Amino acid sequence: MTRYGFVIDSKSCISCHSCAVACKVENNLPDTIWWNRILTDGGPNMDTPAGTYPNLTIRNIPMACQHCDNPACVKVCPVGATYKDPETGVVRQDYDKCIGCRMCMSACPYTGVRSFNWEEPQYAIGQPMGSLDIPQHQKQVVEKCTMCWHRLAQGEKPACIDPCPARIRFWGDFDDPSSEVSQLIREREYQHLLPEQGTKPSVYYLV
Amino acid sequence: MSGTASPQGGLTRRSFLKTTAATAGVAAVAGGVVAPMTALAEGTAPVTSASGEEQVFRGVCRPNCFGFCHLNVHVHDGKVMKTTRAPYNESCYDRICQRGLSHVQRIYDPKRLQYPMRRAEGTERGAGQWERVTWDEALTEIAGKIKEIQGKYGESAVAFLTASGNQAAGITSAYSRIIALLNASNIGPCLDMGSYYGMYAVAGNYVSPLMGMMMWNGNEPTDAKNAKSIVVWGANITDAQIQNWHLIKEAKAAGVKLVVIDPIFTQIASQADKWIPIRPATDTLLKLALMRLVIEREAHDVSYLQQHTVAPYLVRSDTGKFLRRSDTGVAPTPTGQTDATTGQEIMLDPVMVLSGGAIVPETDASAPEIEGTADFEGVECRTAFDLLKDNIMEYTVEQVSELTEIPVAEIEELADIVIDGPVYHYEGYGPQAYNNGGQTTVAGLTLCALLGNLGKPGASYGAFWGIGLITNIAAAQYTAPKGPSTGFNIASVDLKNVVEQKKFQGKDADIKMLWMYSANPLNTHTDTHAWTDVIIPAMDYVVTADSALTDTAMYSDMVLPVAQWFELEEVANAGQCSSYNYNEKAIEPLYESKPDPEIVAELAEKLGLGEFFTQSTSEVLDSLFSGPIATAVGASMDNLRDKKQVRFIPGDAEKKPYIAYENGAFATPTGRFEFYRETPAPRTPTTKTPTPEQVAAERLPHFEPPLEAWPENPLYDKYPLVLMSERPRYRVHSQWFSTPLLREIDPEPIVKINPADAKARGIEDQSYVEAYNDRGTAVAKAIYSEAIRPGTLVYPKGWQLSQHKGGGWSNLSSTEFDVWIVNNNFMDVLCEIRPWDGKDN
Amino acid sequence: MTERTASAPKGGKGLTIGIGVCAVLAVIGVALWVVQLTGGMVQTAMRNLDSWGLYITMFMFFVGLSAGGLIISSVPKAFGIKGFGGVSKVAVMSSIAATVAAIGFVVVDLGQPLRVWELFAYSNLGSPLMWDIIVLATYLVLSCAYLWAQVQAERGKVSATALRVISVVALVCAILVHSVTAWIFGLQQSHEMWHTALLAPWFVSSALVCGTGLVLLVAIGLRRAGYLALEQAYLVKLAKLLGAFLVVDLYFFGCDLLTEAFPAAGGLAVVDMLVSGPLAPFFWGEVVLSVAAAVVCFVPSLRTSPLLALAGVAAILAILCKRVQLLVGGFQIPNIEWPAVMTPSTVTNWQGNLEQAYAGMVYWPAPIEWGVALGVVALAVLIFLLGLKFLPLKPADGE
Repeated sequence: MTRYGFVIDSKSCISCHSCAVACKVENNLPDTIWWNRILTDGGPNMDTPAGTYPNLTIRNIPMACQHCDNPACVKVCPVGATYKDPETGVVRQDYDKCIGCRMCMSACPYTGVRSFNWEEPQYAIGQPMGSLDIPQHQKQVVEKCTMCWHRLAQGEKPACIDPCPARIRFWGDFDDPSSEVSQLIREREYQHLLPEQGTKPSVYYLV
Repeated sequence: MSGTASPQGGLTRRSFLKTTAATAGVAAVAGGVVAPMTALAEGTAPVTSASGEEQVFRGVCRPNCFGFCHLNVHVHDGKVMKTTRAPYNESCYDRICQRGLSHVQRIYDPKRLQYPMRRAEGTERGAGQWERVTWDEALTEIAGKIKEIQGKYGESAVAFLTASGNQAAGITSAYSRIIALLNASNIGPCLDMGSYYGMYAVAGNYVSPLMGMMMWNGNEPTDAKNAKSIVVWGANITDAQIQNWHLIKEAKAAGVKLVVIDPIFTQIASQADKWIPIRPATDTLLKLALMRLVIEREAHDVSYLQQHTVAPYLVRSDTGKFLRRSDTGVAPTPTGQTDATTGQEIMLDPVMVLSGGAIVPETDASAPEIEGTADFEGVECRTAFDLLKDNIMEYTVEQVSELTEIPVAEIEELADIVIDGPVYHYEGYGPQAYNNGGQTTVAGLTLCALLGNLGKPGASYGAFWGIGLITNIAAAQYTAPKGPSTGFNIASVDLKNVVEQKKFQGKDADIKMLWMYSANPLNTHTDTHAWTDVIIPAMDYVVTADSALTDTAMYSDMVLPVAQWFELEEVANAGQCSSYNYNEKAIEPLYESKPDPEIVAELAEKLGLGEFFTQSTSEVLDSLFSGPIATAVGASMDNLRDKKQVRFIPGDAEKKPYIAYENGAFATPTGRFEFYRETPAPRTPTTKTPTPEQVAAERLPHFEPPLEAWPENPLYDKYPLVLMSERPRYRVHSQWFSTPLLREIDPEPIVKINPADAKARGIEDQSYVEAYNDRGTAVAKAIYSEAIRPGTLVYPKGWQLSQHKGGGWSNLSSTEFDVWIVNNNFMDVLCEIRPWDGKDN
Repeated sequence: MTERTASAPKGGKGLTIGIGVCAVLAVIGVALWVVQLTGGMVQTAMRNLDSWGLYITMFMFFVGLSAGGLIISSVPKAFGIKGFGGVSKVAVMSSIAATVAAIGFVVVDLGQPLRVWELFAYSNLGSPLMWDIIVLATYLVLSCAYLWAQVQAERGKVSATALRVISVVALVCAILVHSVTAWIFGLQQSHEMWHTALLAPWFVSSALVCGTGLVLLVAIGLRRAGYLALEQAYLVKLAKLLGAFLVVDLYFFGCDLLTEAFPAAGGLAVVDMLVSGPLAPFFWGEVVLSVAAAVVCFVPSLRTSPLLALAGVAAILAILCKRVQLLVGGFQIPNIEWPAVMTPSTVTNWQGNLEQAYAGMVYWPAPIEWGVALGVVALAVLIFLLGLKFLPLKPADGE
């Protein structure tokens, strides 16, 4: 089978937010919505380190839907609006089906990767941007990273991969041993986020 | 399973892709098809019907962050949908960043200027009251004002000011042409010129055979991997030259050690093998201490010093000049070569050196002594190296340790690292942002010259960014058809003085009109009050051409909406891959906006100069990038349109990275590395003149305290915090200031403060504070950050005054400048900070 | 029926006013719900990191309330023991009303209520929410049937055996409904506070506490209003039962706190949050109210009608406190607390940093939520009052 996923060499992430912006533009995300965010493992504020000057550490972790192998969200959705695509391993979200109960948001251990359109989607520039192939955003349904499903369908990588100026984002098929991502996780040590949750994410963070 | 066919009709990756593509195609027509892979057809209708063809144009993002990155501009139905990374000829340069990705929101920013606007009658400048006018009204009024002011105060009373907001050949040449034709004055930028000054002072201005001039010379970043260590001096690469980070990262992965010297724990400091926190404005001292250790350990490269530097040159103690053969009575001899710039024949008058105890012309000594004193006709002459040593030995390592607040052991360890070359030194614009900033580059380059750490793979000092000169050469005629302008060339940082003194370089100077383009000096230059309180009030008329209502536009009498980058064909002739970068026109200019060259042409028509502006911008580009030199270096317009990117310096980023100062060649008057200069000259003439003491001091690397940010300054008692700035991650200079999606990440002005400093002042995290000094105030949200050195504040630049709850960052800085560098002292600023009382003071 | 209404006791006027007030409040609630839907749920205080709020708190609470009445009513019948006086039908009526409120709160919480039909078309039977919907619907139907059966039994049209069968089924369903509601939360590994096997039995015990409290309160109230006559002994019996339930509930609470705190690991944060953190008022509120109610129930001299009524109120409020702790507490401790971009969609208090957003209660309802919630509660009370007015809920002679 195919199990698409990401390898992120977060050790070298500089929190530039390019992947987040690329995601926002490509998917025409409404105002205030970010499917992909850069978390700071450091001080209380974004982009601040832990410790006391000058003994400091900081780590940046880009985080979006982890496209888990054992997704907590899929189990709890009462209508199957969020489901795992059996052919690709992508955890998908069907806006038309979603009843807006937000059970999936509560069940997902990865705080904040799912977002809800709390109002009619607003667009600061008053016109669509990004891809023409993405589904229309809807009021009061849950959304999240689609792994750029519309791009996968056209044989392209998700929009967050190429723009990374640090070149630390990789995407591919973990079931294909010759893929770049498979090689990377063979050669380098990696971490999953919240492995104790047992969700088996398809996002591997190199350490 | 991948790659194998499944008997159950389960889909392999390939078949999935095929199926989905097909499904997508069918779904668009049939509106839902039952297929094994129904995902894309699932009811979720696309935003727009994918009927129209998407077109992709090449764009160049050019806010002068150093990058000048190539982008794909995706256009559908005449509208930009997105910008994505475009390929370079050398794939190591493929890049885009958060700003480059957000162009669609910059182009269609609801706050974009849409039509010409005149300050409403009866309102003050800056009041923000506007009335819409037509282009014809606007340009007629401007032309009238130009004629009136030039008639009344002389031609030079009209001045044009620019910076780097849209650095491209067509725009630059159009303005240059009108300035020359009007004999108008030119107000030149003084932004981050310290490194440039320091570099050309000691190492010269390098112009490549391909006619590229390195503004900030250094080995190509792809060469960093050839070093043993990378030493980063005050360069916030991970924010300011984000495109270089992966090259540093790859070098590091290959075993190169990364050392970062910075007062602030920047992202790159966090990535470093060694971070050396340093007191602001003391980098030159640290370099002097390193040089001292180099000499004490006798680690200096004598042969390099002999052959490629002025080390052996004898310096007369009476004049400070080099002792030359002509001083011994031998007249200079003709060389038969002509100086390209002066047209005069070059005469040979070698400098005298010591060889075997005798004073001989350098041409006669293969290994001249670098140390020694000689008596020449009663005048003591010492080698330049000895003089350098005197300066180096002025401070002990212990003294430097105290002043830089770096432990002696750290300095010793850093000396080990810089001696164990090759070392790739990367200097940013942090250290040069103080009044003493030029010397930091002088000292850094001299340190490398001492070690012979220049001109070799992995051995470098500087950065890497240049300008292509083809247009300057080929278009000298274009830009000045009736000869160069007779107006003044005034440094922007000196403009306030000129306006107050009404004198410049011994002549009456009465600037009465300002036209500002590709620039926002009220915001990105120092001392906003100098502009709002002195310069602007002295003007009879102020015009700003911009695509946004910047601080500068706010204080103008007429604001002209300009087309943005992807709305006209251009060649961006600068940047950090030292290439000409071709920008296609992707869409029509939005609303009523016009490309700058068109505005200039239409204005010229009204001024009776229409005959000089009959060509379209594309035709102008065709003529600028034509002729034998352009063709010879591959910079013809045809080639540019075809290749999109054409290098103007030698080498190949991947196979043979450019090496600066290769073979010990320096574009200095002596051809050698001149850590000793006979005749230091200011970067540009100003209302100030250097004193003889300043001249004497400037000849050699030396340390002077910064003007303000120094503990001995009595002002420190009142204003104990050094106000530093950082290249904003979500703007470049002040561009993108209102781009909606970036404002979601970074909604309002902030100031980063060490929690200890904050708590001592009763300032809570995320609360509004007011930074203030005698010059002005700025209100921003305080962000606790341990990355900030106690005793300093750091603010990201580029917020407009209207975006602050009170004041603005540039209100606190001054127009004081160093007589040599003539630079904005962005960080040479002291202030205090307090919780904000809610009033806009 | 009309006959009975006509012969309604003197409280009739008050009842009518009550019905009128509740009807008005319910209508206002519906109007506000329409406002919420058209203007968007952005008008609530719920956000991505605190994606459930008052509505789901009240949902939990009302599920609890609904159980009590039915269990009180059905246990005696199911086990063939002497009942709690004539409150049986009133108790069931209160269950029905509370169930309607519980369902109402789920509905007003939905982003796309018009798609509720999908629950039946695309049911994901693996989802605890789906289980709950099925059980709740069954429960509502069963409660109605049970009430009907009681009435019919009184008229001799349903045999005692049949009634007993129905009461057994209703009892099982009541317990299920609590367990399943608990599982909506307790099966989520992502919220440490919720993820405990104890949650289901604990929900049952909490339901018994507030359900009994409600029945006690209603009984005293109706007796005072002259709607029904009850011997004090019945009330004492109810009070003893309430006391026992309170002790069991506190015992579960203690077990849970000890289990969370003892390893001095992640769970300690939960205990800290409850005992001394943002949710401390609700924690201590629950403890104090529970203990006070228990004392009243167990000390014979305190079992006066007013005090017993107060004990009922205290028990109900204690469980409301527990529901707030559970719901807000579940969101109060994020799994990933690394700061990132904050927008108005992120969290209720988004304008500072994440730490500040969690410094107080991460969530506090917005005015519209109070309004809609009041409307839903009013609807439930309305149903209950209508039941009192129009249904033969008075004890049959001899019971």
